[in-house]
Amino acid sequence: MQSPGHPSALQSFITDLSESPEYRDRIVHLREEAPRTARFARSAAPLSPILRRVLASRTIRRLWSHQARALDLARNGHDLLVTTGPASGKTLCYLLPLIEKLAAESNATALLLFPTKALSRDQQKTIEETLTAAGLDPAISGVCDGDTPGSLRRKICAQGQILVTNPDFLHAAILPHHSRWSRFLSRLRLLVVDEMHVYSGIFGAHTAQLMRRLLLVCLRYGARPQLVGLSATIGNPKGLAAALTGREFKLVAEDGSPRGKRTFVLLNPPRIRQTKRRSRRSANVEAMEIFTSLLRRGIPTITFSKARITAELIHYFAVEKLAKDAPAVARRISPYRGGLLPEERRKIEERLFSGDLLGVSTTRALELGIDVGGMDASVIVGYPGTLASFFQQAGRAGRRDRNSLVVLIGLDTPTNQYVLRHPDYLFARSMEEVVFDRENPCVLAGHLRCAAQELPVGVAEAPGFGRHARVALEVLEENRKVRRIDHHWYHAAGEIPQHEISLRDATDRNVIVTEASTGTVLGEVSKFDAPAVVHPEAIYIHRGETFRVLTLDLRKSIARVSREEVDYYTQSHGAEDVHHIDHLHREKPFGTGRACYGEVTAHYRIHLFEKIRFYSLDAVSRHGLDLPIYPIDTVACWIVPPEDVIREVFRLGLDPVSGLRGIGFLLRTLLPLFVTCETLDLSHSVGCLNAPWQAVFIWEHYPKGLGFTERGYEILDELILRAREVVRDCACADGCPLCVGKPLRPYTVLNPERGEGSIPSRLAALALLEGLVGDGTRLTEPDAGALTGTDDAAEIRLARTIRRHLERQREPDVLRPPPPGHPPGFAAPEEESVLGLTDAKRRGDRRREFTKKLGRLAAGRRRSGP
Amino acid sequence: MYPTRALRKRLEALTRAAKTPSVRRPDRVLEPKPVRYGRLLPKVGKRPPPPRRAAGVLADLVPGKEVVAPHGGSALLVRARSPLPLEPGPPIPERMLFFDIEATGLTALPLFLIGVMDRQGDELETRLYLARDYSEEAAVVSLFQREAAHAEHLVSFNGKSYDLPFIRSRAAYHLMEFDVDLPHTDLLHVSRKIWGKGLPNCRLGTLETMILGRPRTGDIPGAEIPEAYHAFVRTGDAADLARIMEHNRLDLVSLAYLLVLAG
Repeated sequence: MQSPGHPSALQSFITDLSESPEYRDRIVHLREEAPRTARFARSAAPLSPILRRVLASRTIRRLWSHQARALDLARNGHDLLVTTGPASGKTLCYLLPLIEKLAAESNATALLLFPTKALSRDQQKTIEETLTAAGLDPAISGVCDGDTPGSLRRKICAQGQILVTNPDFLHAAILPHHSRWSRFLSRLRLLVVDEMHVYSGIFGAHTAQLMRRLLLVCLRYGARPQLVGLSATIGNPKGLAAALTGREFKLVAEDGSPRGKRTFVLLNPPRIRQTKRRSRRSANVEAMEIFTSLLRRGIPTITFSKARITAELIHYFAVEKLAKDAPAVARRISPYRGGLLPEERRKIEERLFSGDLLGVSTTRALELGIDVGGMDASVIVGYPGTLASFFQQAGRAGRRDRNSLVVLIGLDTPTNQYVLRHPDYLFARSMEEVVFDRENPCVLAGHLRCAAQELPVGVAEAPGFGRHARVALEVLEENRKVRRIDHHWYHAAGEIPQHEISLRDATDRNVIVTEASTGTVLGEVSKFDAPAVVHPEAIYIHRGETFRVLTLDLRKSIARVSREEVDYYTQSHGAEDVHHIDHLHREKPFGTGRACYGEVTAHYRIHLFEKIRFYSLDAVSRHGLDLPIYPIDTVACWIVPPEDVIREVFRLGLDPVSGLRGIGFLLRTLLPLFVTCETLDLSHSVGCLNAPWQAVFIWEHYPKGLGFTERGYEILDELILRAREVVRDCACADGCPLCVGKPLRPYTVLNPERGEGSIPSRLAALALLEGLVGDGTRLTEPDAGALTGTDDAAEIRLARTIRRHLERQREPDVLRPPPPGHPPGFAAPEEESVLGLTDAKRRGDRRREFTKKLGRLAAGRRRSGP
Repeated sequence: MYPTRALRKRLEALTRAAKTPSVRRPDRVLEPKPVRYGRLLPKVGKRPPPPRRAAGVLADLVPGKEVVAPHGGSALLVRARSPLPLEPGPPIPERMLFFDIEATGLTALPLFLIGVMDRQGDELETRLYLARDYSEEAAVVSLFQREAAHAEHLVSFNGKSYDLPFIRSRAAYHLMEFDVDLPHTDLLHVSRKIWGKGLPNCRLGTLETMILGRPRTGDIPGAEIPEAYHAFVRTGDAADLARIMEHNRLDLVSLAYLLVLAG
């Protein structure tokens, strides 16, 4: 192994960079953060010999102040939350209490929750080492998740004492069968929740309910585990932890670990064309150059880019570049991204940790707590979308007290350019708060089903799940999912509800990428991303080698590729849109137009791809694609401005479509200010198959929807006035990311390398909004129909939302175009006779019905054809 | 050409005539409900609560008596007697307990019926313990334990890998000690060994038809049992439940026949 770069190598690199004539103009901001010395502390009670053994094995002589405080709090029985920075030894904050509890009570158990499988594996290694050092049997700890073979699961279930798992496994495999885990759960003394900050949005809402269920089951077995939470720095750590678990936490935020001097460099690639789009040099190429020159000086570097393909491309270019003059270095870099096989990932992680790898080009996959060993520099391509994410990526560089360098390279997108112009946006803003909605009725209904399967839910304890529990339970009873017997609600269906309810919106069904000639599996791509990444003729880059995709079989979930040396990569283009309205739920006059809320089918489709030459990044050619439509059943709120307002905008010489898009974007970014959701939980589009062309849709990304847009429909008057205010008061000429501009998605499936389209017109949006609001008197009209604003009406609507949500879970994912000429109306309720069937059976039956009907339609068309 | 179209039309006309009028779901009826300010607000009418424990109906179809379980709670006990198998063979020992369960799912869902059977003199007595609703499951499990405490030997069909672990996990669910540790004859394994090669499969139904020569008619299919039980709890209509109990009793009696035949 080559010795790591000399400490001064980094400083000389920074000096060289800031003084080189080439880079002087590109550096828009340079900022140095002073080093911090370590603060040590002793725990109130002396360390037991077993803990001293653990610390000795890690060559730690003294505890940092936050570790000592965490230990003290844990010993006093408090639930505690540690939010110190990356690489501050947070792991010890839960390991020390864990070892102590195991030493004190030989059959105690502990449950460790990590949000991803990769993290579980990484932590399991650490835990095993610690157990060995403490003189305990390392085999008492095991990872249990979807990848664990059955025999091992049974062994952990029968005798394991430390269970490392993720929320999904806990939800779908442990809690439904909790009586099998009764030994484990009845002795549960410690529950560790790592990376608490990722539990935001819907995932957070689900996890909060899951925690409640877990703690109830534990209580049933007489256990009340102590909680230890770990989180990155966020705006509201205590609030988040309390919302997730329903307990009060003691906060350990003061970081006692040392840190070297940290230098932030914000770089803007030079302008090379005087065009509106893609005028700047590629940020990825820029990053690759910084990456290679850092590596040449022996400085260990990690590069974060947006997408899997960019991570691969940066690696590809860097290897090419280094192969000529520094082949030894070229062998010591690797890409790391999601979609690699687990063994492959683990091998890279090991090489990283041991210092064998000098550089790694990665995506967000390495942002969470996987131990990457000591990196000195972090190169970030494009602002990651949130401050928490940015500082997490920045924090991957800088081991202990060594100096570190963080380079942020701006993409040529409005948001990035804004960040580069206003560095205070990064350094003078407080961290984002992580929020989720605890009262979401659809999430609640799902988890009440699960809770009733796990234990009868007492009538008195039901409101603990959420405000709407009573209504939800009544609707569930009506749908034959639960039944009330005396003072308890019981599960009353022939299915295991946990298997019907997924905690995350993304499906975990993956498309396997295999090499056609040998059949070896190269990796996997999520089903949602598959059409964009492994469409036929796409170039799939795997660890720096190019493969051409021969076929993509979405039914069998297999993409076949063959190794081919090519000089281009491919970039697919797709769009998501509302395809049609299925059912109209609510409608009201709104300003001079009207507003609606209902069920829609959105769709997502990749329709063409470009071949782009390596290095020059010129588009060589474009090719159409014939891929199936990916339907998303969801709910939407939409506004229809009247025709004469549109005509007025035309007359002003403005583009109304651009204005409509701008309004859509604005409403979508403003809704999270009023309703607990994220901008990325929503999408916007204009027009659809059976709505007026000027309808602006705001729709939810979550399958079957979760009611954000219904809340949006209810507070539309506030939303629209706020939108008008923002558009009117913005100082830009005609559109910017602060008003109507298109957002930068933090993790997009597409490559932002190619620009993000045009910015909608602010003036057109303003004209439309003025026209729509009119004199502002008709913004709070009641719904058409009789369901107006009394409490009773609200409850009926709530019940209807939950009922439709349940009914839609019984619908298969197939694109069902509406019958032509029929205006959308309310859905007919399900027949009484089919209510007793399980959801899965009903979905299967209906899928067959649809297929048959489609077959008949096609046959009819053939007969009456030309 | 064969006049299929005409035939189909006739068939359609016939089926149309035979179709019974469909009934709307009562809970979707919009009933006007007076509220404050004198306005009429449509209110989704509630379905009238189903008659719970429609004792009359259940008592008519499956006469039994309520028994109190050792761990508290109560369940329904239904006794029945059947003649001993006539086939020559070793007599069935007195304290040999046959058992069979009916549950609402294959795993992780509650059971509602445990049937046991033993020889009482020169007859077989089946005792079926029924949970009349979900809250009585614990009592059923507890009553089974009391039965097992008096037994010396267990006999079941696939009970080693299904019935007994199922009861054990439900006992754990209800925080009950489960200490049934008796010699256990699993007739599925025995039958596989003796007749397995000559049969398409080794299900109890197949064995009854092809080995015992006692085919059943009108038996409730296993797949319909969970929903039938849920329907009974919901409506109190015990018609299907009676069929389930008969199904369970016949299962048990067949076990005795199989045991005698297998020696």
